[in-house]
Amino acid sequence: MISENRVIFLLVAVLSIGWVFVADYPPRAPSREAIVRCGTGATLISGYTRGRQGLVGSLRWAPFPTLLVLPMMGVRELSQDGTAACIVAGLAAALFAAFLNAWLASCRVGRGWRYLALVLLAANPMFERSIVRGESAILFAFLIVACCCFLIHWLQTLELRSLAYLSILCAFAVLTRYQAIVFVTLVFLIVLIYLLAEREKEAHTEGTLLVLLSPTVYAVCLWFAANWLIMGDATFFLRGLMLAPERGIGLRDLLTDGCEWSYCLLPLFIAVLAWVFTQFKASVALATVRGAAIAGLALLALLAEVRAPEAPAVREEQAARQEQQAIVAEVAKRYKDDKVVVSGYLGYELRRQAPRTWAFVFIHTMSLHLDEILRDHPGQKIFVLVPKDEGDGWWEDMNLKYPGIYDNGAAFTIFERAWPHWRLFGVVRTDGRRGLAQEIATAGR
Amino acid sequence: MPPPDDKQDPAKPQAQPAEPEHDAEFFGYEKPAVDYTFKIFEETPGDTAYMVLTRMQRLVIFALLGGFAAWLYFDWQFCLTVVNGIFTTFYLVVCVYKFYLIHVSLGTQKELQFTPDQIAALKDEDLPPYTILVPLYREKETLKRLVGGLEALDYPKDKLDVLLLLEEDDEDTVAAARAMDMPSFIRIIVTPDAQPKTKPKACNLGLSLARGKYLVIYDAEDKPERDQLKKAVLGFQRSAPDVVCLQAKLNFYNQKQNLLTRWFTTDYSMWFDLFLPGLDHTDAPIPLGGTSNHFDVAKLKDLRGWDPFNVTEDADLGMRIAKRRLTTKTIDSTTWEEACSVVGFWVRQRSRWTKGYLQTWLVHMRWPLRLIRELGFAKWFSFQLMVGGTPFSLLITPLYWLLTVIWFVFRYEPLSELFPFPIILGALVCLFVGNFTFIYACMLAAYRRGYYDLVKFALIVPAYWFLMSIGAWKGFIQLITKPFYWEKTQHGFDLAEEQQQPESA
Repeated sequence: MISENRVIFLLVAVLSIGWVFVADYPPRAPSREAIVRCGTGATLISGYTRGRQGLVGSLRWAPFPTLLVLPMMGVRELSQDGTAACIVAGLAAALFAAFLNAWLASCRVGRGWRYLALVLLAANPMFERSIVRGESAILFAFLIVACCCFLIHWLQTLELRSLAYLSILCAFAVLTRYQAIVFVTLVFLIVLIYLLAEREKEAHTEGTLLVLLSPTVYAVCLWFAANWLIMGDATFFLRGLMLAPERGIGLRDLLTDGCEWSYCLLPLFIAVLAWVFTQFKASVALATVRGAAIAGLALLALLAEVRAPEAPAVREEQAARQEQQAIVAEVAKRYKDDKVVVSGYLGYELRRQAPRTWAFVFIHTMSLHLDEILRDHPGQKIFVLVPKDEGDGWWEDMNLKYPGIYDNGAAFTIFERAWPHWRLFGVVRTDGRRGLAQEIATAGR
Repeated sequence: MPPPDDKQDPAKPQAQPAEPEHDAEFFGYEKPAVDYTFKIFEETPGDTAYMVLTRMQRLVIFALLGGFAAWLYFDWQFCLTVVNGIFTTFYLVVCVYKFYLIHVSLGTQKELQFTPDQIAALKDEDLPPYTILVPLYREKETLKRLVGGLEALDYPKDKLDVLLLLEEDDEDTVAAARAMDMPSFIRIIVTPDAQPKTKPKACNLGLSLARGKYLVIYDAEDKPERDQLKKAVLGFQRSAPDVVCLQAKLNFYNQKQNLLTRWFTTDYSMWFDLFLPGLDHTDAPIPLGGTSNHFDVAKLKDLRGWDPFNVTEDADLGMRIAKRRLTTKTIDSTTWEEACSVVGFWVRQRSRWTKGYLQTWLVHMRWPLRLIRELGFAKWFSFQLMVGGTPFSLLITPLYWLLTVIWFVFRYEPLSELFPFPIILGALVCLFVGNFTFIYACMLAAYRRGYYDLVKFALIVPAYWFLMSIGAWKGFIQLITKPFYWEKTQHGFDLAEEQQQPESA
């Protein structure tokens, strides 16, 4: 017999993935993140060695969601426009719904109330938006909520399975958004305080903390090792973090950048509320509390619905795409005999705007080796498109390698043209100028 | 305890054992109605490990090796890539299956459990006679402790039927046992010095002479929980009629003796506390542990006892139980054993286990299609992964470690040709996720057992896996060179240490 949770999983998965293909209009088009992740995955699959750092090279684009799209990269239709990331988000949503249903059931919430809670969750535009835009936010929200539920369950029952799942999910959360390390630290502190309060023996405390932390520590170590193996620098992905103070970027910006903590609030509220119900005796006016809770949820969903079109990220991305289309059109018109280099994560998005007939103009590379590009295209003019060093552009490899290139250019570039968020620079050929050749050859490594 | 000298050991390896010998007088004991010593061999020799490989198996293996060599000659790169792909897929499937078993066993407590009240409610007069088989070989040091342990069992002594199964050539132990003032419920049985000299042969003799309704095997150094027999009786009473065997959990009392015993303990905990309950829960065939398996004697006799030629007769019997559509259940009671604490002896013990698993796999795979019919596909699949897959993965693991080292240290580019994308993806999952998950499973197993201080030692368990692979290769080579040689597990090292402690103090 198929269990209720499996039915919910299948139902939500089918509906989510179906909706991905139906709701393909501009505000619901795959997000930058989806395109970047699929682009990185496709580069990895293609075996292009120089693109591999796409997987490890950024604090902004944590690896786990990218790893999840990899199995779909063999299907061109899914890999080209970010649909694979939407499918992953759909599956994450299905897992989320099934998990939440299981949790509510374990809190003895009746079937009707459970389904109502799930409908409220699904009706929240953040939920739907995350799926159709292929954002990893839904996966992150699921991981955080599941961690909280397992933590509560472990604190209540001390069941080993809850502790094991909590620790494994914490590791996945960190690999989904690095900022989750803050959350893991919080979990660690809660468990530690609990163990100290219970006056557990030293060996017990040590064992529990080891079981709790080792998956996360392993995941982090693995990532340092991967950076070292691929880039020869274990802290390569942390470059942005190290440069952040110089740019006046504070801790709050870092913690919230690309990490939609707010996505977690509604489902977390539902999950914790259900657990709170279990703490009440039946004599308490449970119906009143339940009614108030449902009303609260409905209000939250309504507020989110009203605010959804105003979501700044969506607006910004739409504006950015319009600009990218303009750039592509102009480049194709003016520079069709030349080569325009776009590098890094945003390069995937920009290149996607280029129709196939113009695609030959662009060279997209994760790692900028201008000397090789110059050598491979003798006699052609080479240009570099540089994104503005703010927002996602700030985390771009090119801006981290050549700080200030957007504003001031570099010794080997000549300013050519500007758009609101992009600038085009011509690359100086090095014929006979040894110093410049040296700079081009070494600076981009 | 000194290691046994192979040159003087009557269990000296033979390429093929002599035809089984047995005596018309039944070794001087009261002749039982049926002699089970070689019953399975006499009735269905094909179900025993008397022959390592059948003619058809030899033919298939030679054909595969020949085909592999030819393919290697004509297109070595493609050939190795395909083989690599098969191995990687196999690894992945084994990993996923074992993770599933861990997940299942963490979530449920399916082993039979009984409360102290339920045990206390059992009346002595209602308890059935119980036979305990204790095979011993060169273990006279453990005799005193063994008898003490047996006397301490919470079971009416007039219903106990303990058989100490000694070997004729082990004169020291025989003499020591006879010199002891044995309680009346213990009988000393001396097995004649004849090939094959294996534990299952001795156990079959014990089965022939057993008077109990139920029967259990304990090793000389075993310390079962006092109420284990009563739990087993309750277990049989409350189980379906198809239950033949109740497997108790095994663990070690000397787990903190040294690093090896710590690792061994986490390994054992993982096997008995995570994998076996998982197998039980999924109704998969359970390869029985060496001791503390409680049998319904009538049903065991119906199964014709143990294969006297198999060096892991317990795993083999577990499969035969499943083939007959009978069941093994696990019981929540632990027998404490002595963990082998010396690397050399540990490797020998592990080599026997690997050899036995391979023997078992080969015996049951003589007619693969018939096996699928007998077990059903799900159980057949589990058998392939647990009995065939465990030694096979131990055998190929060193090869992959070597490849990993070569790649990471020397960046030897031609290797990447053998790892096209889907294979490298699978291989990376095995390397980074699979290995860590098994380490983590060891940590969980130690934690679940309450061995909190062993959790940290599980973090360095890959070094132990390396020893396991050495043992596996030794066992594999021995399967070819000395298929019936019984690598005796040496016990009493903890006793030796106990005796030394006052002197050093």
